[in-house]
Amino acid sequence: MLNEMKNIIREQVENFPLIRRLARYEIKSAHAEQRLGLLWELLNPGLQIFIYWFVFGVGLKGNKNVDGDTPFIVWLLCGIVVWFFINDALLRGSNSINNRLAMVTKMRFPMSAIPSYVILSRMYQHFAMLLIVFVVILLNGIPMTWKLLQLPYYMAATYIFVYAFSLCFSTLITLVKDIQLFLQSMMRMLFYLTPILWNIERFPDVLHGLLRLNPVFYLVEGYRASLLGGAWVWQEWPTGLYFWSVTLLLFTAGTYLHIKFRKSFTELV
Amino acid sequence: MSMIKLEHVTKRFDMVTTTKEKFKLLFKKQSKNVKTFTALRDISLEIGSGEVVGLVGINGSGKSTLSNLISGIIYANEGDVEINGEVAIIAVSQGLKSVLTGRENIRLKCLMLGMDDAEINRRMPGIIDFADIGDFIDQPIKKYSSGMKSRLGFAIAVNVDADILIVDEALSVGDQTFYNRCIDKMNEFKDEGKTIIFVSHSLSQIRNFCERVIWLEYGQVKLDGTTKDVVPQYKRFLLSYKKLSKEEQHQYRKDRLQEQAQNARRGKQNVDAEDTVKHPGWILSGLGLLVLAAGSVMVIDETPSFSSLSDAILNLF
Repeated sequence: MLNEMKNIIREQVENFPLIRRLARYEIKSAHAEQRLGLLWELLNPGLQIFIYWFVFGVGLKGNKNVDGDTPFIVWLLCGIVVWFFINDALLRGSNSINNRLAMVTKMRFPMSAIPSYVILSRMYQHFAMLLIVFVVILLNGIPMTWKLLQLPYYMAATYIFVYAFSLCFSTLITLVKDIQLFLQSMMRMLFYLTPILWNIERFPDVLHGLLRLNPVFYLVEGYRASLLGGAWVWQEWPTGLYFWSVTLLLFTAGTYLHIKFRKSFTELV
Repeated sequence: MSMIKLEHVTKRFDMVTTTKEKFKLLFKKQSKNVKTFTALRDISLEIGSGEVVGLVGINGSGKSTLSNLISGIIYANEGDVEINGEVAIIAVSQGLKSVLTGRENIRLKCLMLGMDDAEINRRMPGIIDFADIGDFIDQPIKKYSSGMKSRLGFAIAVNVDADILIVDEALSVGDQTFYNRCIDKMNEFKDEGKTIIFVSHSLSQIRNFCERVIWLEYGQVKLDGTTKDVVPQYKRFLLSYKKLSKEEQHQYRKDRLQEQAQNARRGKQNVDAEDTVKHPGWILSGLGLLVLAAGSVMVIDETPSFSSLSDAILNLF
């Protein structure tokens, strides 16, 4: 088992130039036919954020600050920036092999690189949005703290989690197409179960533990802690331990399924 | 030098059709309890560099399976496949993306083959020139005729520096001028010492172009020899086969398969180390326990007391 996992990781490293080039092509070709082109990568989430801000921030909360001194829009942005990446990358990554079956089964291609280049192509949008988040934070006069050093760790954690998940589900979806629809509904539900639009402090203490069972919780709170100055990584160790064991389980199951079925993808078309 | 070496290769396809059966595959060992179709049975052959080999046989004899096996798209169930060099395959269904334009398809295909931008830009004019489909190069593939698709596919395949070229009935849709150009190109490859495998139903094409012909019959090599030897015999067989009624053809197939089964010598079992993961169940349940333990630690760490938790949950309703 350990050998197979090493193989998958080695394939990622060896094929990295290929993955990077395909990721770039993927994002360029997706917007080739649109007048505004790559701008949609920011317009689309921008419009969604506006709606959420308007409905949940202004409409329901009267644009009150969160935790006393953070404007709702900043607070929302810091959480939703990672959610957009997870949602997009996870759904596209999980469907990546199924989607490209007709093409990759006509040639020899490293199958384990398909989810990773699809995920990497979403990373460009993520970086651009993070930049905007920084600008908004600075404009609101919120001081940067040393906690910002944690951001690369949380980014890496997000990437690894999404890859492990996609590796597992890209094989499952190829075999049973229903799972894709299930995933879509699950992600829609998860959005409201993750502290993106609401603050966990508003829930009774006793429910905090249960809400943390959602692995995305760790990432969203981690991004927020890094950007707005919250807890250090080690202060969150029980949640961290849980998050990494879920990721390890997904990666192991993903490796097992991928290795078992990758040679027969061609025959399952 | 031998470029392609197959030893006792057997290829079976699982005949799964329904989602339910595919779902079952997740939990069962593959090829057990599932109806299978043996496309190739105990094939051994060797093809050297610079050889031009024709592959003939009636429908369902395993020509395409053999081509795909050599190009590494599918994998053998038993036996060893040894390929020395890069393989390019040209088939009627090209694996081109129908919403992308011809130019974009060239780029995507080259990217997937591992080329960088500079190399793609260098090869692009050559590919477009060879395909010779005019303004259609900037049109989406879905607007192409089958001939155009085949020309584009061929143009990409011959321009990627493969050592082994497999042409799977792809020339049958092109017109005479394109056919001649392909033959010229393939002759060029022949002179460069590249290996070509040519799958075709047109015996005149085979006779003109190939030196060696392999005749496949129901997944086995019936005859392997020079074009002069094999083609006339195959032609004779075709004539007599065509005269048979449908029932007689079925009977013929049944007899042949029975004969094969009797002669069958079990090839050595080739179980790739990569395929069999040891004790996945144990490892996965171990990790599941870890998740459970970590989750409980986390929940307990966060929860003041369990009586308050049950109160809170009851209060929600």
